[in-house]
Amino acid sequence: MNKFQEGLQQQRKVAEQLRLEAAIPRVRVSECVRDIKKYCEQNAEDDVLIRGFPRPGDNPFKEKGGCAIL
Amino acid sequence: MATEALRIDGSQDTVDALSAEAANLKKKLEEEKAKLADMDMGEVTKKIENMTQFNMKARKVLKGHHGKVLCMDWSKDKRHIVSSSQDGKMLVWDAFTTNKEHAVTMPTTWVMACSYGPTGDVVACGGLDNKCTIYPLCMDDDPATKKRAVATHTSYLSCCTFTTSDKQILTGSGDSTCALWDVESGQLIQSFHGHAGDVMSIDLSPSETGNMFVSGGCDKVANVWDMRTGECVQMFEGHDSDINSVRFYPSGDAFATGSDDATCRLFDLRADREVNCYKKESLIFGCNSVDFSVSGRLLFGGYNDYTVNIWDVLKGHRVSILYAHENRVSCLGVSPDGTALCTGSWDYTLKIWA
Repeated sequence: MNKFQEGLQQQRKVAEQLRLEAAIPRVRVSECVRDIKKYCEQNAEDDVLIRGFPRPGDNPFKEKGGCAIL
Repeated sequence: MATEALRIDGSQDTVDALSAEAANLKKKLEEEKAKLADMDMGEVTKKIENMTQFNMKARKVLKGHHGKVLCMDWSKDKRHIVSSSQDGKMLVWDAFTTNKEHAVTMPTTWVMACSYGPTGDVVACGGLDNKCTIYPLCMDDDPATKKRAVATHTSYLSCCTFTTSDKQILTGSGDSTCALWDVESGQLIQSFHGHAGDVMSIDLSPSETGNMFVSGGCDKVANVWDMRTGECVQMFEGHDSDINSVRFYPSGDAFATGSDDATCRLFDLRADREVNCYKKESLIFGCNSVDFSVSGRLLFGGYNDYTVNIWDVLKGHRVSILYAHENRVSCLGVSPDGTALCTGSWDYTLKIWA
């Protein structure tokens, strides 16, 4: 393939990609953001990194206190 | 029909005509996107309460690497972690006890990618060897005896992730492509061409109907791909420098990026545009890795200034900062049940925050 053909091929790809993108349906930002917010709210209860564990003892990564002597 | 064919084969198909068409389409796309940007994320989330103080502490320190930690991944069992390092080692940890359960020495330094298989029975890694190698995990045997090279790129492996089973693995590479491989046969199933620079990060869509993944790279662009066709279905621009990390929002409707331009951004697939940018004037160091808390409310970013910044995804503020490590935070990940955050650093350690 010569340089001209390569350039043409490249430009064809760019146009092809843009045609594809121009054809996709879009939704208003306000609606999308509301859905993101809704997902946060619906799952807030389960978010341990925000809410913490119901009881601190449930945390499997926490060093268990108490008996340190063997 | 005849005129249509003539148009495509003839006058339309010249570099000039195609360039003009591309410019025109670009302008139209921008106008269309601007029209749909009817509201700021801040406006929609104004009335939400600010987050109250939450209490994340370093609970465990995983010590054992003799080089910069470059990548980590959680097992689905929410307990085990695989990590890879510049020293050529891949380690499998029990994060509850900090014990090392497996150690694999790679024939290369800079093991930049590692991933846990969904069943927990297998891990994959690679780096400067340009390959992705699979290691079955078995208590009786050294994993290295059963290793299998699956994927080969023409440049370094930057990231890898199993799909919904242990049977397929998706890879990203410095050769600017992504590829989907059959683990059993090592056959290439699909390759993904479109990035104009090194691919740095990939993430699979969490939505079941998805069959999609997102990739980010040194061309500052994030691409969304259809895994079945190999087609790039959406492109997202906006960053001023390399995109180091991409991660889907838990609903699958959006994804976050972390970049060398010191910002993290949220891109929405349906709006087809950026919907929020997480930055601060005082923050000038690049972000290497991002992940969400399970509800999607928090975005964790690991930065070159040794910190983890925690952003309120909805309101756009920084809600907390973890002085996490003594060198760059190179990778991070929230455990599958959302109970802990793991960070990996160039200070040779990983830490568990919960």
